[in-house]
Amino acid sequence: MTEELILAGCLTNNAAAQEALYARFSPRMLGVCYRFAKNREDAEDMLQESFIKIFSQIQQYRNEGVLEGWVRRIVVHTCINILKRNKKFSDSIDISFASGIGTKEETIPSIMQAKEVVECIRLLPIGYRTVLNLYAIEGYSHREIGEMLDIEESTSRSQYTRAKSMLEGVLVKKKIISDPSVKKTFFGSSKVAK
Amino acid sequence: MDRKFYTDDFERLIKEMSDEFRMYPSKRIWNSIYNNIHPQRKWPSIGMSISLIFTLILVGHLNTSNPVLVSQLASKQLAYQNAPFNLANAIAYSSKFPDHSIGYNQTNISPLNDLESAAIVNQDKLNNNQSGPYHQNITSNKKASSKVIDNNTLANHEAIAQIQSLSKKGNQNLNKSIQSLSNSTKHSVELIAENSSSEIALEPSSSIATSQKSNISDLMNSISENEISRKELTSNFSEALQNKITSLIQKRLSKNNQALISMKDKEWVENIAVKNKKVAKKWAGKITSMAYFTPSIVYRSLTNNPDFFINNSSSSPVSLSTANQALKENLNQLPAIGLEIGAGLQYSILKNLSIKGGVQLNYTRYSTNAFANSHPFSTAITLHDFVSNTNYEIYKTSPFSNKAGLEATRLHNETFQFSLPVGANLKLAGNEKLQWNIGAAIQPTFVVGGKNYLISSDYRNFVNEPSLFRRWNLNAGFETFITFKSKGLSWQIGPQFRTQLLSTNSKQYVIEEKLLNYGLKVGVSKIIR
Repeated sequence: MTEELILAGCLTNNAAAQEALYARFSPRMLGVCYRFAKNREDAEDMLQESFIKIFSQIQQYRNEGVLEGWVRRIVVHTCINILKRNKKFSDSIDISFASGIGTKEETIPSIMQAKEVVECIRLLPIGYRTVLNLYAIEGYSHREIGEMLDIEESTSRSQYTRAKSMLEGVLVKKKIISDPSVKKTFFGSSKVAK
Repeated sequence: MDRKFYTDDFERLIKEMSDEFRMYPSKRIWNSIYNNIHPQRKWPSIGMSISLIFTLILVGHLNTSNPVLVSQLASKQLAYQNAPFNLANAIAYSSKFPDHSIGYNQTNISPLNDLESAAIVNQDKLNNNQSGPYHQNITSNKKASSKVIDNNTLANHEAIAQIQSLSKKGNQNLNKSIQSLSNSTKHSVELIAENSSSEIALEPSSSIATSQKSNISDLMNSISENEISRKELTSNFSEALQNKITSLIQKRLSKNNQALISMKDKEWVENIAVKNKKVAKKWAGKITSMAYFTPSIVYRSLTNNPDFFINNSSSSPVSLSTANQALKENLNQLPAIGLEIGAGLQYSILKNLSIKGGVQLNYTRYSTNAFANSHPFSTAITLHDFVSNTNYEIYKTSPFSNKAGLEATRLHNETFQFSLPVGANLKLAGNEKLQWNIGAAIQPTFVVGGKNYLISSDYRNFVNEPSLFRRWNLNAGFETFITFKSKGLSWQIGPQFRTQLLSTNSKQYVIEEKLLNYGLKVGVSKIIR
């Protein structure tokens, strides 16, 4: 089923089209939710709420940009709203939460590299993780992140810097990236983040 | 989004890795979404449950009230009631209607026995549904699967024999490769057989028997994806030999167009046998078996039925509240210990909500302080005539008196009940280890037996009259409990309140008795996987 057909079906509340849309985007979107959530169960709750929103607000999609981008934006915003609603974000934005990383690292399942990277991201304190997810992966600016999370833009920057260095440390320990010099050689010249 | 480019290699790495990452949600998530966006299609099962409960209530109601019989009896009795009460009159009444109670009972017992047997038959069916046919299905599936294995193995051996005859000139590695092919084929088929009980709908055994062929191509396709086998083949076989093998197998398959394994099974084979992916069971982790017992303290409430309360005394009119007060003052009753034992299944429909059903046995009891006499006294209990809407008395003899007698004794009003509770549990708070839940259930109940000492019309005597038991009743249970998980089992403990919605006794008896159980429920449950 093409994206146009799926979209047209979803606009008429057609169950088959809705299921097709869900089947197409749910695996990747659950991956997105999983990066924000505490565990798989929470991630599935986020996904469920997101898709209910998607189907109820599908009329608002105006064919501007890729459908997946629109879906993803709703998913991310839903994840953030759930985190804020559960106060999980504000409770654990403190840097002191980073202390447990050394012990948690041993529990990472090394099934495949993408999963390992995601699991490493999930080891970060939820505040760091959220900022890192939004900035580095979802592509939001620090100003937008500040507005979404009700924090200062400067706080978002500092959180991100700390999150990044912490994640680099974890990835080096997990040997997903060898060390900064090797990383530069492998990926070419590094650029300075804005 | 003012940042268009990823300016750092590190960010690009985690972006790429994160974008590659996918997780497959369980089917339950889609079901929940679907139910949410199509609410009108959500409730058929609940509707069915409600209609079942109403049917049970209706059947119970029809069997506990028989106004026609009562009216016939009442018309005969009215003549005797007009005469002043004395012992001679009572004896005459007893001689006129020697089997009044028995006859009356028999008319009630007969349909009740039918219902009782129906309940037992239903129970048998329930048991069969839970165990019999399930095991039969497993057995038949296993038989069918073993046939598939036999047929496939046989056919594979034949194919292998032909391959071996062609490869006489081949080196020893050929045999090894064929052996590995054979093993992986057998392994794949055995995996199908192992999982046949729950996941795979195999073809009926008759079609298997008639076809007598194996679907080698499917399995060979699967096996061809096996890298080890392919490596061995490519390193040791010549291309010509491979072509020959393929043509031989295709020739054999051309005789066998009927596939034994459906598309669904083929997909399963690819997922499980080759890619080693787990296929989630639809109900896995959702159904929980549970068992529980609840020691309780049983109280009773006694009131005059307001619908049947008729002030017969013209000289000293009595209000309903005064009559109820007099009832309380004239009886000296004590709560006693009861017990509830049950087992059932619980199905999780939402993350925090589950429905439950099962079977339950209850023993209820409360005591009455009374006096035993050496000889029976004649006494009367008041019943209601639905046709003429008047109350009348039936005469009984009893050795138990209320206020004074030869020897103090304690009478035990008790019932043995069999219930089919249907209800729901809601998780209010907690995590995976510790949870706080509330639950409620409606319990259609069949009263198997017991003793009911009824107070006489003048509150002077107690009469044991089991024929006036309401056989079908309805109870409601409410509970809140803490659940904690330990070693795969989930333990539950918490207070429970159970109340009887209909009177213990038949509708004709003008005094309504409702039992109230305050108990402590202790249960254990295990998730069925």
